[in-house]
Amino acid sequence: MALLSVDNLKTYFYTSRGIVKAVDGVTFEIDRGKVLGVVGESASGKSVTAHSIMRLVPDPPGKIVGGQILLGTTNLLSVDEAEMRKIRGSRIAMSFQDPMTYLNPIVRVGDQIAEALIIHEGLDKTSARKAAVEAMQMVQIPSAEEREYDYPHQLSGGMRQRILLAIALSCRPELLIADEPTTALDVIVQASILELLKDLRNRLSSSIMLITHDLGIVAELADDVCIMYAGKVMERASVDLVYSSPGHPYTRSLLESLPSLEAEQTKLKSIEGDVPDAISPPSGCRFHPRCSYAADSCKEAIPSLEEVERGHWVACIRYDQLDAKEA
Amino acid sequence: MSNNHSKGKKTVLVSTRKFWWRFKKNRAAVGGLLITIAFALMALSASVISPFDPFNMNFLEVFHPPSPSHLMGTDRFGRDILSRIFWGTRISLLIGFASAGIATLVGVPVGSISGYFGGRVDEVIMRGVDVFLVIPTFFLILLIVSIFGGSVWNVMAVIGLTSWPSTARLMRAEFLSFKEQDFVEAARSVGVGEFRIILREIMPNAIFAAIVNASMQVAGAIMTESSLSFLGLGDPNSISWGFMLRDALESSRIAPWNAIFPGLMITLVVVSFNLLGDGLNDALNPHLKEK
Repeated sequence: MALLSVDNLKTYFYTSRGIVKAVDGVTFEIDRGKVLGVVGESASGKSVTAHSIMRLVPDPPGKIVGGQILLGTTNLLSVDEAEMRKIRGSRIAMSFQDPMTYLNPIVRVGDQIAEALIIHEGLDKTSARKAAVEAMQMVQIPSAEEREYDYPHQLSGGMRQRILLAIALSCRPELLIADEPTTALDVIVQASILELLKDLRNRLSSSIMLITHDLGIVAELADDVCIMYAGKVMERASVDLVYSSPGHPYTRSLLESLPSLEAEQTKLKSIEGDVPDAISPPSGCRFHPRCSYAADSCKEAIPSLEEVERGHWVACIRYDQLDAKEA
Repeated sequence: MSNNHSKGKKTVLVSTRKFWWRFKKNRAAVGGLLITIAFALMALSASVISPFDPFNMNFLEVFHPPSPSHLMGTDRFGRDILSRIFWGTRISLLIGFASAGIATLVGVPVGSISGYFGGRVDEVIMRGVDVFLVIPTFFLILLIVSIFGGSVWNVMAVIGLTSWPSTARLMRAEFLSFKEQDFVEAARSVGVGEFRIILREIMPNAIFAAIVNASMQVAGAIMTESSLSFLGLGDPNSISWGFMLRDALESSRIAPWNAIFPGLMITLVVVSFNLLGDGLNDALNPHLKEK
């Protein structure tokens, strides 16, 4: 049974320029102990989806206008704020992209980790700090007993990201939402954080919702992939399926834009055009202006997510004709 | 790096030392601090270091100019001015600190709540603050003191209760900017409640502004108290520099030392608290901190 199931989620932002449909009918599931990679360009709605699950969408201007989010049997959209506060940090936790700004600059990291433990596990300060050190050891921070007295500015970027993960994981949540955990780090530190996430995935029973725009990370870590574009899910399947037989033209373009070790390339392929304006998105399929397979019908028909083979969902009305064209 | 960490708890010292290192770079602020400390010592030991009883009148020594026995001369009742200056420090500092304390205790929570919650709460609180801000404070103080009398406690309370709106404004601004910070969102994401966020996440960042502000308010309160006493509305039973200035007014031609010394003290203490506040601002303000 799915740990988290998001069904037809709609989160809109009401701005003076108009309604931004940041998340517009997103559906996916995460199974227990599994890692779902949510992939998309900037402004594709991945972060807003995460914030909607946490119920941390700034209101105003944001509002979750429709859909359902089930965590186990709890409907997260119907619990009150006090109940939600108990869920945050203990059942779902989130780690963030920028490890500098998401840590309080003048509170010791040990105290910042202990905070969640004091709130959710009812520990007193001393035992919370002990548990904080354990959490720091869990994310492989060397000499954690000393580091817990450090302030964020005394730590390197990679260490700070580990602290963020330690905060998120301190109460052993059922679901960890990792919002671009490696984006702000250099390649070598990225690799070590990835190793850590892999290790945590194997050791903890938590599910992970991994938000990223890096397909390489998804290939390494995720079990399933959800490709998002302009607030909609374009394709959803297991990692193997997505990489071996990508169904949606957008997914194909994403994969084609990756550098390859085998083929000799002088120039990387890119997807022409920009992410569409969120206030007045293109009619029909939102990807059609940039899609090399687009036909006239794509401008009108709004594709729905169809199961094209077992466990492989694609939102493209021309799915059946795609390969025919290529052949 | 690793030396700092040889014992975890040392890092506290490191950041305190860093503060002191930044503070020290501002010479004027160090001067302000030293003068402030000197005044504080004077106030505490006034009864010991005063050469004469400040109330003791001696009609044989009226209007003596400064001399070895009376370093600052005597006033129209033959009282020793130096001793009165020492005792006057008590009133000035007491009123300065107490009113700044009251203003901070009222202004910080009001401003924090207003800035953090925003919306209608903010609207209501800020309109209230505006009402206070549009009233010419000094005349309000004059009015209240002349109705309820000018005892030290009244003066303290009145100055404190009329200067909290500016503290509230300041804290509101701090909270408005800090509540948008990423680390507040991070705290929310682990289920930290509103009041815990105010007290444990934002307050430690925002309180510096209040400390700096309080230091300036001490100077302001001392000025106000001196002005009230000068106008004859202070506590007649206490020794106040403003009161001494008023006494000296008529005799300023024949005995100018009567006015010079209290005036000098008022200037000195106000300037030093302002310098101190400035130095604290440079050393504490996170926006100015160098990397």
